[in-house]
Amino acid sequence: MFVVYYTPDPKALLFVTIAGGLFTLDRVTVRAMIFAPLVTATLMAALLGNPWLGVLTGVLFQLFWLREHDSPGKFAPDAGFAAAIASAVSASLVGHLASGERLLTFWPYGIIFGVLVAPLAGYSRWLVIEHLSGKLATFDIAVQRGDTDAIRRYVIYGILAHGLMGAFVTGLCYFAGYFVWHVFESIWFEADPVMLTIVPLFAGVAIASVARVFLQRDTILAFIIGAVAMTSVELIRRFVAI
Amino acid sequence: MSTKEKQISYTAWKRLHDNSLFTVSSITTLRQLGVGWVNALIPFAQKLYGVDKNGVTELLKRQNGFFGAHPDFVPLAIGAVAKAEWEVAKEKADPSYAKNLREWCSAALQVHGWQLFRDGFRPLILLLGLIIGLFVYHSSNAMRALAILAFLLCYNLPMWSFRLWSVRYGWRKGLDLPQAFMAWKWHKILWSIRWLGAGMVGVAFVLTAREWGRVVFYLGAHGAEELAWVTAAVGFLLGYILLPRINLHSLLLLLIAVVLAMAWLL
Repeated sequence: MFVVYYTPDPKALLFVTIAGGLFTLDRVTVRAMIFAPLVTATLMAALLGNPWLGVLTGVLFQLFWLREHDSPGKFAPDAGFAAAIASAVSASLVGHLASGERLLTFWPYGIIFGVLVAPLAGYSRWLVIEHLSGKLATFDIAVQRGDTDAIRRYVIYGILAHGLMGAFVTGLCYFAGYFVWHVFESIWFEADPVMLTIVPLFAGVAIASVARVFLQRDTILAFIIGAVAMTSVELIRRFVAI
Repeated sequence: MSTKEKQISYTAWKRLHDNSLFTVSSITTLRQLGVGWVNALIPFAQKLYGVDKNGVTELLKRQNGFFGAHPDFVPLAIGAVAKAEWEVAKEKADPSYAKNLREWCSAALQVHGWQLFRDGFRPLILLLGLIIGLFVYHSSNAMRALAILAFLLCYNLPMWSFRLWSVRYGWRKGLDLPQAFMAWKWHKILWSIRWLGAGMVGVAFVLTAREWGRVVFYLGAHGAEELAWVTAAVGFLLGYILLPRINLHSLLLLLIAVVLAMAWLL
């Protein structure tokens, strides 16, 4: 009974773990932007049957980390990972909704948990990098001997280490997110006016951080054109709706 | 040596490109991308020197060291260094040229990579993704899947085209790469990205406030739609003015101040 109630569905846990490994592999190999929060959150929630919640989570995390430094060696919060965990936790808790509760009831909890565990992905990658750095002497000996197979083995080992670590940390955090919710079930993270005010406030700050990169005296016209164009589209849409 | 013999075969440059993608996976603190860099050159070295194992070993030893170019510029660097190594093997050029070229790529392609990709193209595409996401999150599942695909295509089509082109470009230029690279119209490229980015910031700002208003409405906090607009605008202005002066401590103080103010107000 304890296991059934406090732990997630093993199939979902397996899917989330594999997806986490694949996101990490994308980040350290082909870098096809699958590790962007928008994609990780949507795919995770789609796997667990609720893509709407995923896109919403992805948009929110994308906003907050628009200028994220994407170096894989950093020891810093990882937006893609945080979005994936937030999305997976809130989407899997949807099954526990009581009648009359909204789909977004568990969302704030998922987001808070995602933000809290975000640095773990950066830290785990740093651990792998430190581990690989410790084996540099072996690599140098292989180069001195011209042993190409040993050089290839070192690189393949690095790829596998990153992938497995990514999968392990994602699975662990998803499990922990699910478990912690059931332990502290009595604490109600329902969206309240404080959160509803703070989120757009920080969204504004996040957009401003990108604006500082793009917006200068010679590009202010582009900013105005963008804002006016979007406002016009919205006004036309409303007019057509009336 | 005829021009035809200097051409690199399709398979060879494709393998150079493919191997260059895995440089990040073996990143180390001391060498940065250096380990993956040596690994990426192995097939080329074996093709260049054939059964001469000493030639392969000398090439790998020469190229073993620190390499810190931006990952998206690695194909460009590998094309140019492969050509330099080709000249060492076939035309008996000074081997130190090939080593020096790697060191130049390591420095120049890092700084320019930050400007072009980390602070330019990437946030631009992420902004575009954000705008697409804000448009579709209340649409059908099929639309959401299409939107994610569109976002991935917007990033990957130009990036993969650039990577594939840059191996060939690097090979064509060889030791002349630094000269050719510095002649790129950097000012115009960065200005175009900034101009586009500024336009998208405008669109994203209006959309975010609007969509957040919808979420607020959905949650039942009626009358809070205007609040979302006002707080987003205040956040934007605060961020724009304060960001250059912000460090972690001031950010924490700001957060505490905002939470206290909200608690007092509500």
